Amino acid sequence: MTSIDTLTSTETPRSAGADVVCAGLVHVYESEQGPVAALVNADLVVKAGEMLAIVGPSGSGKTTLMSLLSGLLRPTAGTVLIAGQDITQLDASSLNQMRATELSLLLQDPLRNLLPYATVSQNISFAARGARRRGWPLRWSTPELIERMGLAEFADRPVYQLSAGQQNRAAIASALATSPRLLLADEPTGQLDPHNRDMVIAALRDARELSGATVIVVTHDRAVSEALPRSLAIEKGAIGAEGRGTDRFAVVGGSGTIQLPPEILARYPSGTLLTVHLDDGRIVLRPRSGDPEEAGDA
Amino acid sequence: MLVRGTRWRLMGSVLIVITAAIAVGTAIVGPLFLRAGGDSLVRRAVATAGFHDTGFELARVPGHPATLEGLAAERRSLLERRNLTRFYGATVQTLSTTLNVTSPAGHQYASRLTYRTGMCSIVHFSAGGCRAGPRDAVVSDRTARLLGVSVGSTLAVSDRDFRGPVRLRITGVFRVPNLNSPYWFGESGTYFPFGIGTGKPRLLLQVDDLFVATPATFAVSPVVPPTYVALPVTQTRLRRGLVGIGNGSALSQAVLGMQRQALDAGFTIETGLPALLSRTLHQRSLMNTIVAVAALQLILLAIWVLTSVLLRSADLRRGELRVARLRGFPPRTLLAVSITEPAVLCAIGAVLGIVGAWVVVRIAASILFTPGTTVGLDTWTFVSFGAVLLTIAAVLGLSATRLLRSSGLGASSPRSASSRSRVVADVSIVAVSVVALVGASTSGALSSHSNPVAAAAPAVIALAVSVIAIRIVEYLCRRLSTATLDSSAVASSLAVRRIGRRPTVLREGRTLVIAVGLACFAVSAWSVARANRTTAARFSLGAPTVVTVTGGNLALNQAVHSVDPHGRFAMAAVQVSTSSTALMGVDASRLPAVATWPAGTTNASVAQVSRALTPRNVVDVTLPNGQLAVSATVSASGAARRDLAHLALEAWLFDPVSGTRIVDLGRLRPGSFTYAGAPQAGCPCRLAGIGVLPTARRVADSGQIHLGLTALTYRPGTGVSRGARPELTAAAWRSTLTGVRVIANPSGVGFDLPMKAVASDVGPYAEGAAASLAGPPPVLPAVGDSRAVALAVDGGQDGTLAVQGLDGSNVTVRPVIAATAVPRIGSGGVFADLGSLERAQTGPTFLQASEQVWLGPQAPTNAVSRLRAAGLHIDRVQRASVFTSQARHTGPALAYDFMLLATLVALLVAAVGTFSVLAAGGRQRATEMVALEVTGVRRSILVRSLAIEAAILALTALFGVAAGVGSAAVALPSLPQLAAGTDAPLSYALPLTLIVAVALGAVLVVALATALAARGILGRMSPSLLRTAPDDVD
Repeated sequence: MTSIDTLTSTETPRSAGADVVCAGLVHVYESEQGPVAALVNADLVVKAGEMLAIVGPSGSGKTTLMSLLSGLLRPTAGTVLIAGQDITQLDASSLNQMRATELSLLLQDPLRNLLPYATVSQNISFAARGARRRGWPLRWSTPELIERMGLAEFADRPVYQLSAGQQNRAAIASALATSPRLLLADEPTGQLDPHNRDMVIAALRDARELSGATVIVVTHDRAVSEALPRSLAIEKGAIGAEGRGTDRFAVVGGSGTIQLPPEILARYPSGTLLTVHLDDGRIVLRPRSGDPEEAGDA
Repeated sequence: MLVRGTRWRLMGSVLIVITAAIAVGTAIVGPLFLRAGGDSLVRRAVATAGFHDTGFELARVPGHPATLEGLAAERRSLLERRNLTRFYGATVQTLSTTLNVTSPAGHQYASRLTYRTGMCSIVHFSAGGCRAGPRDAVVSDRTARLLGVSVGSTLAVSDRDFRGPVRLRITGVFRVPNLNSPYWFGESGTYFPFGIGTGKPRLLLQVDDLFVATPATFAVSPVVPPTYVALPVTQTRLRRGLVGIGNGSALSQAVLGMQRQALDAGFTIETGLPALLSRTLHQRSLMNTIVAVAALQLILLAIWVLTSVLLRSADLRRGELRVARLRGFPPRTLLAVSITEPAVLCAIGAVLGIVGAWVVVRIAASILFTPGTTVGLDTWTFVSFGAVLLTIAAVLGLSATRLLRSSGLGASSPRSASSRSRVVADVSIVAVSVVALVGASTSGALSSHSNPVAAAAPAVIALAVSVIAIRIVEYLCRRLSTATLDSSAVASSLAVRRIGRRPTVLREGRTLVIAVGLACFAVSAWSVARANRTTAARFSLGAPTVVTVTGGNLALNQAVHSVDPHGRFAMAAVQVSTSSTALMGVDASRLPAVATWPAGTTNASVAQVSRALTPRNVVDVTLPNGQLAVSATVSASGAARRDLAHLALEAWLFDPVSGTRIVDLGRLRPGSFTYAGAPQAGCPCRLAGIGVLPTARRVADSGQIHLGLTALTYRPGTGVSRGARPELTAAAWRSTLTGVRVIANPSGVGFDLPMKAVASDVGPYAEGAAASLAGPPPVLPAVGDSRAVALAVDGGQDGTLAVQGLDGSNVTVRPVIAATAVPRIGSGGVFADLGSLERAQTGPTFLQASEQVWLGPQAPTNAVSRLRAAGLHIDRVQRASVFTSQARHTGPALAYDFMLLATLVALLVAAVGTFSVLAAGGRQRATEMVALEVTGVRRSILVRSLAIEAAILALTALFGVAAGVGSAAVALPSLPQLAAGTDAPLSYALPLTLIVAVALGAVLVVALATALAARGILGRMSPSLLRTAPDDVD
């Protein structure tokens, strides 16, 4: 259990974020060994102002999903609606426009999001410049943002001189500089110790509180997913279980598929034949008679 | 933000500025240097040339009457028509005619009557002065003494055929002027024969100096009858400092046009200006080729390094562009972010390059160029500047494109060239270098404008060697990295693994290999050219210093021996050059100590040459002014006994000024007596022979006289008698009169003289000595060049060759040693022993003979003064150092200076490139090393591994030495090292000391670059590096 308080779904953000809807997302990479399906028929609905963690091991497709959500990649099939706008249909200029305004992407390693030689203040101003040029209404000035993100003490220090935690907070502040409606964070705690990880989670929470933006965090860190009100597990390119606080659910996919939790999957490996039937409001999965694991219900 | 970013990547920024400055600077320096160098060449050529090569002389076509006024009008007209008036200064008019003068004593002399503008104000009068009267003339003081005239005297003059006699009145007597004064245009001897008759008698008696008169004397008839051939000439000097590279060609064309125009109008213009400028422009073209190739190589190297530095800088800015992308900046902003900083840095570099180029050329102008050289821009400067700017812009575009492509938000990194494409590129480079090598060895590097591959051979060879070197070292490092995997030599293992697995630094070392190669080639070319210029200068003179003197060759020998009794630094020489043969008589025994005899002149050493030329038995009695005494025992037989009183003992003396003369030693007396006599003048002279002459009209023609010489002494002016014992042997004498026998006797030498021989040698022209001191062998050993040897073999008899001797008559020489060329006298010349030539001399020294003293490298600084003090008249002092200094400022020499400068800058560029790649990877390297340190590798081992990497890089750079030496060996013989041809055997031995110095310099450069980079790496080593992405901050 983390020390971070989880937000409940009943809390209302002060400002509405963007709805995110992915439907039937498929992404296929061309590799030397042939086509590789990184995402298979993924569906996702995130309500405005929600905080969501996408969890999965390396190679599960979570970073691909993040790239599709941020418009860095175009899906092989499917749609990605952000605030009702299908970004898969946008041209490069419109995507730029979106990244400068509604959507903010936070890369792993804070320094990848910042100009290392510039001060915190300059970094935030620099990030805001693109939005300002495009006439996007900024909801706070740089000093306000610095103040609210607790960076006042370091505002005039070059970011390379800051500690890892301070750098992360500066990066998040910088991402918020454009007053986005959707904040995407890719492994924001990837290389951090627990203390700094907690600081980052707190900063993300602060960011969501401050902006009301929808926040989607890609992580492989269970602690992060457990700290967020909602989490989605992604495995082999398909969205499987979903967590709400401490509860975990399997998700029925668009074509009626569900992903079994790992511990069940370990017991009934791929290829196992199961019977599925309803039993008094319960879904019962039973292996075929004669199979080695016939002995129990799932 | 831009400034912060620049400061953040300070080292990379500085490197961009430096390399851009070098690229732009070189692009400008090349054309600036060429233009200023060309201007310097023209100005120097014009400034150092004589009047004949710069001014012009206008005269009427022979056979046409002319007046000074007519010439002046024509000159004015010609200059105005060609717009040349501003180039030419004041005119000096000359009117001159030969005449015969009869002195008051009735002696006839040949002389010359001359008028020259302003001459009366140039000369200093000891009495009287110029008058403008029609029969007035002035003479020099020594002519006045010779003729016995003074102010107010009259002299009868006539033309050379003694027609039209008139009387001139002497109105002034002047002292002989300084003939080195610019007034004489450096050619006083040609037009104003002062002192032409001094020292050397002519068959025709001649007045020492000319008569000076005013035009009135020429103009008023009948003072100067029409039979006089008066030659009016106007001479116009080129104004100083007006001719440069900008107007040289146009001026040359205009002067050629003026010559044609003058000829059409019946006038001739003599000037060497077009030829002089043509020679100079040829020199410039030699310089252009070398400078252009050197500059281009440097520019390409600088651009290469700049490209590398800019690409690295782009890598360093990837993070910024990613942030900009992240925040949705539009493409034009991304482009600005990617290109603004390097463009600004390049612009700063360009400004610095322009300033630097200007400063460098100004400094070069003050050191290398002729004073007054203008440093200015020309079209090529702008073209070159524009081309480099475009190239830099292209490189900026390339780096920006690469940056824009590689700075996505994913984890992409710049893709390096695939190994297959690198192999293709490397093989192509090696193939081109082989072509260049073949081109250089067949058609010669830089020898042809039409063979650019050969011209660029050194650079291409260096490039190929660098490619091969990198491949070899890379391969070795990979093998060693496997071999040392489990080795205890951790530092070495780390170093070779680093290079083998990430050979970027090593590959950047290619520029270093090329720079070292070019530097070795340049220092070799520069050093060899300098040495050959010195050799050519000394060879053209014969010795480090050659003093042309007047004194008569015996006085010459005596003076030289008195100044340098031991033969350590001075040597007498006499040069006789005619249109067909050239003879240099040298004191062979002193040749090794004095002469410049570069290796390759002859197969034999100069000492062997000296031994071959030196006669084995020298019989020489040289008498100073003084008394000669001969102790002799005389006996007679038959009718000779009766006529003994009518016979006199005579000595035949020879001096090179007046030839042979006879000194009477007294009437013969039976028994032993000492006979003595003193030459009246003209000595030092050589005892040529001894004999008996009849003093009566008729003497008996039968019987015999026996003359036994027992002592031969002479008393010089000091009063000390000196004997000549070695000559009192039969071997030292030979009979020169039919019937006379030379016999040996216990006390000396004896002669049997039949009266028949004595009686026939009667009369005022009797010249036959009974016996002469044995002279030189009939065929003198000589050193001759291939042409002389060929003449001797093909045209001579038994391999001998007839050349004009010191007295103008032929002497026979046999080239015993063949030379590629002989010093000073050039093609077809021979060297022979001066003493032998003098003993072969029977008449006065040939007028065209040039008497010289050669001073060797050991000569004291006051040697010339000592020669003057020894009684020699110094006509001219030629120093090889002056020749060398002049050659130092010729086109090829300037080009090699530039090449040397360029390659030193190339080393700097290479150092910058090496440092750039070392520093650019510094953060990554520091991260790796921290990781190693964390795993327990001691820091000292890490430092040692850095040092080993530096050593491997330095060793790789040394491959450049092989490239430079190889290029030099192939290309040097065909490099134009001298502005004009030379007969001197040139040496292409490579300057090993300088090459070693370059190699050490390269190692030092690598050591410094890696030490600086290592300092940065070690300073950065902090565990915090392990937390951050290496490609973002550096």
